[in-house]
Amino acid sequence: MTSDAGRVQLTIPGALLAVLRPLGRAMLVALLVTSVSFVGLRLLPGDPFAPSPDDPPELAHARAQSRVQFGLDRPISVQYPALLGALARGDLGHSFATAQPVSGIVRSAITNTAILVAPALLIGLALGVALGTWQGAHAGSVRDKILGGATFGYLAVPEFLVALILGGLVAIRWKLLPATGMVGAEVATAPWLVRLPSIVEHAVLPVSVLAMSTACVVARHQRAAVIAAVGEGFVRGAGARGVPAHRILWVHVLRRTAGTICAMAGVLLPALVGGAALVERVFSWPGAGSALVTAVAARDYPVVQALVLMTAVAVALSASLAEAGAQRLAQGEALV
Amino acid sequence: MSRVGRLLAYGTVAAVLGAALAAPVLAPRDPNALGDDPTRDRRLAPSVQHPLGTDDLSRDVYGRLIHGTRVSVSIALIAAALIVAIAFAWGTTAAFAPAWLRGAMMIFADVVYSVPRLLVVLSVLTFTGQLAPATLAVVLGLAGWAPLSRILYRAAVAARRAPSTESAMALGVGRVRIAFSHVLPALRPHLVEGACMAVAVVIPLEAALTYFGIGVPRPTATWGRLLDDAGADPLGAWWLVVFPSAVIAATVMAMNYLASDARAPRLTAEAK
Repeated sequence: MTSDAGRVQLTIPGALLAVLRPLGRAMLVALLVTSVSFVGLRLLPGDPFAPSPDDPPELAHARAQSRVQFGLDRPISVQYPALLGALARGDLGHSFATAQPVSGIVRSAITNTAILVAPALLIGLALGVALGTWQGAHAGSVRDKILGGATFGYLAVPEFLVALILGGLVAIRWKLLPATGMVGAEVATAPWLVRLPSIVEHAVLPVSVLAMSTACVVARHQRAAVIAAVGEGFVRGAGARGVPAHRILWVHVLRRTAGTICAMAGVLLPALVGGAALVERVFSWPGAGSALVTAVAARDYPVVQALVLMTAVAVALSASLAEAGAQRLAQGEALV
Repeated sequence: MSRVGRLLAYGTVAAVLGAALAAPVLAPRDPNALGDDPTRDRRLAPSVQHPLGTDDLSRDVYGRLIHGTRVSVSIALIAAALIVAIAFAWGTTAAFAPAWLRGAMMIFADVVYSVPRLLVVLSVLTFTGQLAPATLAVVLGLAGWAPLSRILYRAAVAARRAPSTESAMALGVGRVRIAFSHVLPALRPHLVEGACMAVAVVIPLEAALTYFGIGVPRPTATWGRLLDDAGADPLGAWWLVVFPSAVIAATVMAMNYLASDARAPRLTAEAK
């Protein structure tokens, strides 16, 4: 351990580079996604402020004014640099539909989705790692086969269907938990701390659905990783040194599979966000998915643009950070 | 992989493909036709006359399931074919391209991967008004090839750098021959696995999109539409939920099984 101090200092530039490179890549991907979605949205037929023939004169005037105000009358070659400039200043613009700042709309939508996705990811990872590690250590046993069949079968049922059935049973038939929404009407305007119990109550079902499929995916990968690790020499070595079997499994082997878990987390997050969009819909949860559906339908370009940008940054960042982390863990450098 | 598992998987695939191909023979009636007496024939439990029962509008669930299989399987196969074809072309081209182009191509794959699929489907929906099944298949294919292209790219790079390939190149073997005798065999398990995974991903996705009204429009029967037909109280008539769910789950399980089957020999080869 004494020689480690010098080594850590030497690896700092490497560690910094390992973080900076995925960050740069994520920035580039975000810029390109913004450009692609900008062009794609402008290709859509129709105009957010298209005048309708039965408009009263003052409404037609207001529409024309809005078009000028939001700069839609200018050519794309002017709009596009203006958008990039605004984004660089951190200005997401104003919603076409409600004229409110986009940052507020997007922040609440993404926060609401995060309320589902973050606990689902943590619970799913913990449960999946525990299940997979146990299965890997008991590979081939009857209980391992039953668990393996259960995770395999569960993953074959579409997530929205599980949500529908679970919601139908627990919320509608047995009335144990609220079926839809994010917060009870009686506390909707109450301070944050008062709303919290109601939010938790509403989140139980969607989080469970998302966490269960995450756990099944993680368990299957973790089982394979543990089986591979158990076959390695260091396990036999630790056994020969008299390290107790449960310690070998839950400390040595688990640490060996940390790279797999890290790489998995990066792939799971995008999958969870995608799955959340559908599960949110079943439980009428006001998250990013429903915000996106509303915004596209209303041709609310700034909101769509901001949501796509945020999702792309999150996906690109988590994927490249997880990949970099997995690589470093595989090299055995970042275990300190 | 056990023999029983493989038999079950191939059996399921054969049954689903058979139902899709022979739909007009297996269920000659129009899948959208109402019962003889629409009020009396609503939500009938399975019987000899209606082996899988009837739905809210008195339509025969068996006929709709068979014809729905045709639509859902076509969508999945078209989308999977597109995913594999684009991913293969993109990944292998990048693997043999000069370094700057290689980086650019993989970053473009990242861009495609980062755009939410829901946005792509919604945008095409606003463009075309309603989605024909073929359009939905093409959209899902165009939006889903990025992860597989990365896998194929890595495998192609590894195959190109393999000692046997390099010595073949040094001996002056032509590019086409290198591609077919050195790179393609190394990619085959990834291609099979990718195709099976693509089907296993597209089937629940079509079901979800159609269920939520942003996929195939009414009244066309697909597996997702059948779940939608179950109505607001899906637990009230079990046959409306159980049969389509079972068909979806069995198909996805079979495809996942075949995917891991394709992966298995590769893992053992690497272990050696």
